[in-house]
Amino acid sequence: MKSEELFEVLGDINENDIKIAATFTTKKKLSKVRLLPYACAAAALLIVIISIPMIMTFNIDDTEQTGNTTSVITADPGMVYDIILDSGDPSGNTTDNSVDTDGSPVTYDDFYPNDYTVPENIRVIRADIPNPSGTNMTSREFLNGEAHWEWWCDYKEWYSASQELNHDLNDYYLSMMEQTLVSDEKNTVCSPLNTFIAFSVLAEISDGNTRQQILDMLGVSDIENLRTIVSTLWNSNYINTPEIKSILANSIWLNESLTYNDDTLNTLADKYYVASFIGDPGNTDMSEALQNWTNHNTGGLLEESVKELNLDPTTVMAIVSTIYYKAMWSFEFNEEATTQEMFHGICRDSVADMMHTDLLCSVYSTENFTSLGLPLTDSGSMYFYLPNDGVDINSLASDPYIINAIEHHTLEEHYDEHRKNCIVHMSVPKFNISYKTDLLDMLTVLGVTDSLDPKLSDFTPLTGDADEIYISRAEHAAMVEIDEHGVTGAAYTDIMLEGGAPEIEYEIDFILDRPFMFIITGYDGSILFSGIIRNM
Amino acid sequence: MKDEEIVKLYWVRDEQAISESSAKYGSYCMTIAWNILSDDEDAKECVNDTWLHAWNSMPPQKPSLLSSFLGKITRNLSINRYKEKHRVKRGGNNIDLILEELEDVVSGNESPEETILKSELKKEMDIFLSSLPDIQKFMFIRRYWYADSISDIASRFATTNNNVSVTLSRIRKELRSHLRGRGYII
Repeated sequence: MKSEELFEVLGDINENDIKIAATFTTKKKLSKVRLLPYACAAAALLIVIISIPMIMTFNIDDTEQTGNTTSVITADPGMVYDIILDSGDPSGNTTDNSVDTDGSPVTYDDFYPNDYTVPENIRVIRADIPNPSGTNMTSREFLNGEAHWEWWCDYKEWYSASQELNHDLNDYYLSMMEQTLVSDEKNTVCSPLNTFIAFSVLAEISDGNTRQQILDMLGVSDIENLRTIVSTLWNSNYINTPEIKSILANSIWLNESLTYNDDTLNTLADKYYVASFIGDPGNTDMSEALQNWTNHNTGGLLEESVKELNLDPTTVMAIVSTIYYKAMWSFEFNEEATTQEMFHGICRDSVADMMHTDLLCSVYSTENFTSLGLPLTDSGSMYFYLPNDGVDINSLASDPYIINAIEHHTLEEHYDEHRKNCIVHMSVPKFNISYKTDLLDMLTVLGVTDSLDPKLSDFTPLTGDADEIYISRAEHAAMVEIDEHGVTGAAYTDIMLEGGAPEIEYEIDFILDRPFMFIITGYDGSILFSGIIRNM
Repeated sequence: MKDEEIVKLYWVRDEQAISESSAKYGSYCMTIAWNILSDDEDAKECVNDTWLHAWNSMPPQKPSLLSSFLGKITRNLSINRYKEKHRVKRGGNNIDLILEELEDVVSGNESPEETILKSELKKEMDIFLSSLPDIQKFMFIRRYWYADSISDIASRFATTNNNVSVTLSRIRKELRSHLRGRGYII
């Protein structure tokens, strides 16, 4: 082929892209970045506590050795082992602590994963987490410089590999959403990716039927395969640049009076990027270190809830897994166009700040819902799902088509009968929701029962010191906030004004003024967050 | 006038369609033609021919995005005009530089399967472009669809000429790798 012919072929590329490119400019966008730096902020936290039974006498002599472990641990008879850990903030408004008074986020520009304080009496084995890209750069410098390209070339390899994996995880994502998002009237939100990674760590420290039940829940054949999946997912979803924060972090909190299997801890560090903290869980220093670590890795978005995190003296192990996410709309809402409109919730009608935009995009429709995705810069998209008349919003949480609506930019999608390019007049309320879920019931429903029973559980890869240890607490908390922050008079809006309204055959109103569902994806299609808004 | 109204004028064979198109998209199409031809007279002729081609295309066609539809006609006409005038050798115009750059991606050889390839290639281009970050994607389209000069792109994206050249060079390399990875040797 000659270059003239390639030039001709390029003439037939996607017409939407041609139209957007007609008025696309970075000038206004980048000048706003530092003032109004994000459109979508989210965080999630999953805590799994493994402890010994509530009332027991526990005496292990150092002559009783198993594998690589040795220990001496003594507990008083009759002691009540009640580990109270809390996370999330059902009352909402968890983001105030994350921003300065001028609206700029505290941690937006540079985030150093290991930059948290730990008292000297706690031993730390830090995970080998990649350094941030574009440090000491503004968004403009990063986007226009070589650092962005270099980052993207590396990142492309990861998300390409991860895109393939995500097809296999869809069943788990759907199960998770069905178990956590269904409710009568509460707003619900969860992070399926966060829970997947946390339960993967749990699988790694268990064995026998205990492990198999967890693998079955995750839909993964064996532990080797799981290690590959988690490593790939982690690398394709851990992004730390001036433009976007998608920070995944894992930690384990260990009791210094026990001895743990070094091989397992090394595997956790290598394959799961788990930092280990070893100390006295009864000491307030340990709880403070846990709070510092969690606040650091959730960008302070769950700060109020994190204050309530405290470890109990009898904790054998706590797994804490977090995700912190901040991104900008690729094509932002016009802040001046936001109006106060009525939102018709399940419990009541209430006034909401409704953001408006007109856009050209791919709309996915089934007999149950209509959905579209708003792209997020250097990340995936936020998909909104509006149920059709008469369809219960709860039914969407287990509808497999909600996964199909997520775009992966494949040839097959060009021919998907549910997908159509449309002119969309969109209205979506600003919201800030948070939700806390007790996952113990969910684990039982999904067949993970042995690890909850001290008589059946098998955590020998973790430690041979303590028999009859079990999961005493598993909680998940998440929050998501969106607003219009970004460019005033965004590219899409400009186009509509300059180009006039295109042909109206596929023109729809997409008004989210009643209960709706949303999913936030990574570039690879991983479901970072999902939720259902029922009331404002 | 709204786009759908202009399209209706074409469909009812009302010649006002041409004057409305010219008023709304004349400068848009002129920019595309001039970027390719670097000649006022040639560019004007191609733009005028654009309305005629649009007249002959609608009906049966009913474009959803009139600007892209008209721009594409102008672009094709301009390429054909360029080919007619540069059968022997290329000069140092903007489009010559663009075509030289695209030689990074193609082999330059004739292929018996080109007819089939071009339709598949179009889809692969869309997939490739959708995988690019926004800025790189639109930079590429401005250069190889709108045939903008490097300095115009640098101004639009608030960066330097050198940065644009380097970025485009990398995207071409990625495109070549993307196509080869999928079995296309073009």
